[in-house]
Amino acid sequence: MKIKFLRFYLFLLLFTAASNTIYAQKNYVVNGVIKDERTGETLIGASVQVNGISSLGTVSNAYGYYSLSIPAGVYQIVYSYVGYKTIKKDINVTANLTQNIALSSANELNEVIVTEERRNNNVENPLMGVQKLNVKEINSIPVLFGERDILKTLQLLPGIKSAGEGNSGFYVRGGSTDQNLILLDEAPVYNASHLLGFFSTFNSDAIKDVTVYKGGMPAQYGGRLASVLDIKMNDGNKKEYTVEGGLGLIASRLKVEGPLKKDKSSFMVSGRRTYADTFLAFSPDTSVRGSKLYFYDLNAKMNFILDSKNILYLSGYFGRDKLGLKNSFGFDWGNTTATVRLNHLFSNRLFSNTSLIYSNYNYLIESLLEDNDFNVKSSIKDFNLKQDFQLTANNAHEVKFGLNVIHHTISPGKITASAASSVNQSQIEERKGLELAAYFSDEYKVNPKLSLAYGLRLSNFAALGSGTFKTYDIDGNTTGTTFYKAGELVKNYLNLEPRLSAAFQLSENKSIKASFTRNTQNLHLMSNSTATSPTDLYIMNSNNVKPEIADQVALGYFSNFKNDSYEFSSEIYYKNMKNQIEYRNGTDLRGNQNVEADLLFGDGRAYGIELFLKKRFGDFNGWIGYTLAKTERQFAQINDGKWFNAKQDRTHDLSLVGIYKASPRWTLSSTFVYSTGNAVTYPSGKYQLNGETVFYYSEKNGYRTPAYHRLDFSATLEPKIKPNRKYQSSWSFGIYNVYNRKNAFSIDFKDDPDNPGRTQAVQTSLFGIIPSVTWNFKF
Amino acid sequence: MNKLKLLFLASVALALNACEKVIDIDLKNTKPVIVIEGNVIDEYVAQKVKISQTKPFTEDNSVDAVTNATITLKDVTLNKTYDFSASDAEGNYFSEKFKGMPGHVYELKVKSDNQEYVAQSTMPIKVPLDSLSITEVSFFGNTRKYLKVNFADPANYQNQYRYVIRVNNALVKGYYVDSDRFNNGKYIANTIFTDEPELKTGDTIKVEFQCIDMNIYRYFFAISQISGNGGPPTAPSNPDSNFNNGALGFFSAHTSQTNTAVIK
Repeated sequence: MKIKFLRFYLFLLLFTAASNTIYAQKNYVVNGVIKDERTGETLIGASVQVNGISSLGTVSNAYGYYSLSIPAGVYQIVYSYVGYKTIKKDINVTANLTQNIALSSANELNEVIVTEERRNNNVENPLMGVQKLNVKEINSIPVLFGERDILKTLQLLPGIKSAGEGNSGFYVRGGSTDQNLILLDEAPVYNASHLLGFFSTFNSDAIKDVTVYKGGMPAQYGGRLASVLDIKMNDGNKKEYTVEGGLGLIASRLKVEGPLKKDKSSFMVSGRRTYADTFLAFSPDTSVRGSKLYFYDLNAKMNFILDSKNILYLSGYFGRDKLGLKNSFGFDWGNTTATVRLNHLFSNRLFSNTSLIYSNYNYLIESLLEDNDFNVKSSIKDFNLKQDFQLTANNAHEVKFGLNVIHHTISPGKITASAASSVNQSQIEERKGLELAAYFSDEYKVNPKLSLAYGLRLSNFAALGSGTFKTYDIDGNTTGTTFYKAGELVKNYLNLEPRLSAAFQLSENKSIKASFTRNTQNLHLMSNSTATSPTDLYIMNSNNVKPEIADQVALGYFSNFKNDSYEFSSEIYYKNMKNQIEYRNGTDLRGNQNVEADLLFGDGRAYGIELFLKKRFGDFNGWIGYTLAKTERQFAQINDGKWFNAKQDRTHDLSLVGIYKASPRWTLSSTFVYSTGNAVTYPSGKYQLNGETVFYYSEKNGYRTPAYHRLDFSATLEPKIKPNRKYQSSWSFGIYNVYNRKNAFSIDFKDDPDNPGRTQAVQTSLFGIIPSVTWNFKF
Repeated sequence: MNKLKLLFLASVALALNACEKVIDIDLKNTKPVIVIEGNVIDEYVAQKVKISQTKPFTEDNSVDAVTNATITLKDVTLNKTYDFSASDAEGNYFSEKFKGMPGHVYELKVKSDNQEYVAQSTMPIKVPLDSLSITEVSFFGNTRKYLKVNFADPANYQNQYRYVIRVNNALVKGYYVDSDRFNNGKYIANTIFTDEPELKTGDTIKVEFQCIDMNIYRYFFAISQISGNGGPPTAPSNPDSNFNNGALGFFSAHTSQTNTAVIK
């Protein structure tokens, strides 16, 4: 197997060399890095466009690097980026040229930017299902408790739905929460939420860029069915030291960044901690005083420009939730990621990035009850090596290729206990797996009207020993047991994932696009409850569990109008999913050695239409997103084998976002969301069993909870602009759920406590109207 | 800063004050489905089978009895059948008196409206309940009394237990089942986190301690999971019955021992 990969890799290298010699004769390369003038932060996705020749243009990559191949001649190159002042450079290309650019911030998002710039990237780019979130937008959109939150802002985009009230989990185009690949500086984050889902693990202070792919993922991404959320952290200010922070109702934040050596290296450290528990210390009750309830996040990053060809990045994330009751119970969980990356320029046409990534998610439960003390540890640990190349073959082709190797170790649970405890020490066998992927993609401008992005990803998963592996029949009975030695191959799965998307320009600012994407997933989150829990465990492919496979086709219409100040898109998609996972009734996922015996496998399908209208500039901007969709699952052993609504199925989903710059100091914003209620199972009858009422269910997810809707409001007061003062402070005020809508969190059926001879339905609502205030500072 | 603290406390109070209300839902009604509750215990008694059918959610909780069924109970191990009486008005059917034997396989056949429903259950070995005791657990400053059941789990068997708890002769709602997968062979002191009623000094607690087979354990565990059992609740579904042909309910051959304690 490995040899095949090597051959593929060699082929790619040869291809690279060949294309170099073919094209180098008539074209020269203009390359460089695009940065923010004030901070030295690299800018991701900045546009580089030869004025007047629409086919000559590119965008900066994840490291701010761009490379453009153009024939000899005299040109004007336009460098632009949303929120920055455009720069035009007149150049005479007679040889290869390195052009590093520093753009200066336009201060306000709504400042109208010069007209000739290339603002039609959304229309021309062959990729579809992609959306970028602007960090400035994130900061002015109201959220729960005034804590700005990337994942919750993301849920306001069409096709992306919240997993529940105040929840940072999300569903993309009918996928479940574990089918999203969440990358933080290339490191996969396994549990992206704090405090049982109410806050995401991403502290927006530390974040530079957020891109989400709902479909048509480029071949460099793989491993999850539904979406890719690619989050990049700030590099750190290379010019001067700055301190930024905020005091909120729930948490406080502090970020320090600055140069280690001016213009050569920098660092960024950003931390956040909640302080609900500090109030516990004032309690008169000693058991309350000893209790714990908080989370914290720490993001850190350093980068070093070694020379003109090499840049080294070190970044890390460490976050943890801690819950504890004095003398009885403790529970904490969190992610750790560490990334070392080296950007290297092999030539002015070949950019390379090598990443070494470590990722770990674990939890620890402690019971301190007398006679019953124990602790449970569980973890998922990855070592990940990624080699990515970006080749500027000629002005029509932008080629990317690379390799990715991930070694996973899952330790489902290890129980330790004292000798006096009634609990036995035990350990569920660790599982190891090796994921190998190789990819190739090309963005090809066939002609001024047609551009293509095509690629192929080869994904191989090997389940490895050591351990005892079982096979099961359809009823979950063991049919075979085999012991494998350490490193021995248990089962191998190979998948080819074609990716294709195309854009056809109808006019300068109108296009239609089409795409086909296959994604596969080798890691699966086990959760049979209605809400996610930090104890939900991942399992890997095995003899019984096969890779999940999704094929998605999408068609779209994209248009910019009114001098590009409005952007409209409409996408229709159909997705077919295989090897989806459900659970037998009464499955206990906790500490279950034979969990695979309780799994059921079936199919899924999802289809829908997404409409998106955005006003991009002006004192008033914002967007409307609407999704009409259907998501279903089919399992032979559930619902008599008939298709049923998946729990993430919501027919209508509407988001309105408005941001209004009322005065130089006041920014007002508001969001409104409406969605069809969740698909749920309600009783169709009842019976008495042993003196208790038990409900009878006739169809799975055949009912709907009441529709969900909510209006939020927020206002930000910026300081008076005093040019010579570095210290600045601002206030944010927010109101969550302005009209105090009692949205259903859960609906339970039970005996009427006032009249035990009858039954009733009881709706629980979580958050009513919640005001918030946050004070932010910077110096 | 003081204002900030007040505001914070107000928000937390608002947020945590999850509110409940009774709502009206238009629920579909289905054809009635047969519900069989059959037990064989290790005591010399008339063993009882109760047969009823489901009824609409909006009706009262009285039992819709099925009184015209024919019942056959067989000790498969001994190849011996036991006769059952005709039903009483509540749908209860009683066998001739006999004592169920641990290790024996029992088969219950119910014929009703030309449809036959069959289930088997194996009576597990009997594990004696040693004692009942009371422990106090403190949750955020609120100290409550909880029941503890104490017994020695045998190491050579996979055991499942069910506790049927009565406080002052009133049945405690909820199904409490346990398995020994985390404490096989240990002396077990299990705290049972019952919700209502709160236990007080002077209460009389009566616990029927049953050793049940695996299918019955999963059956009751599935019901208890729907309302959340040590975690978020699972999506509701009918528990897997050991009866075939779509009957609801269960047939359980189990051992039974009842202990009583008064809280001091």
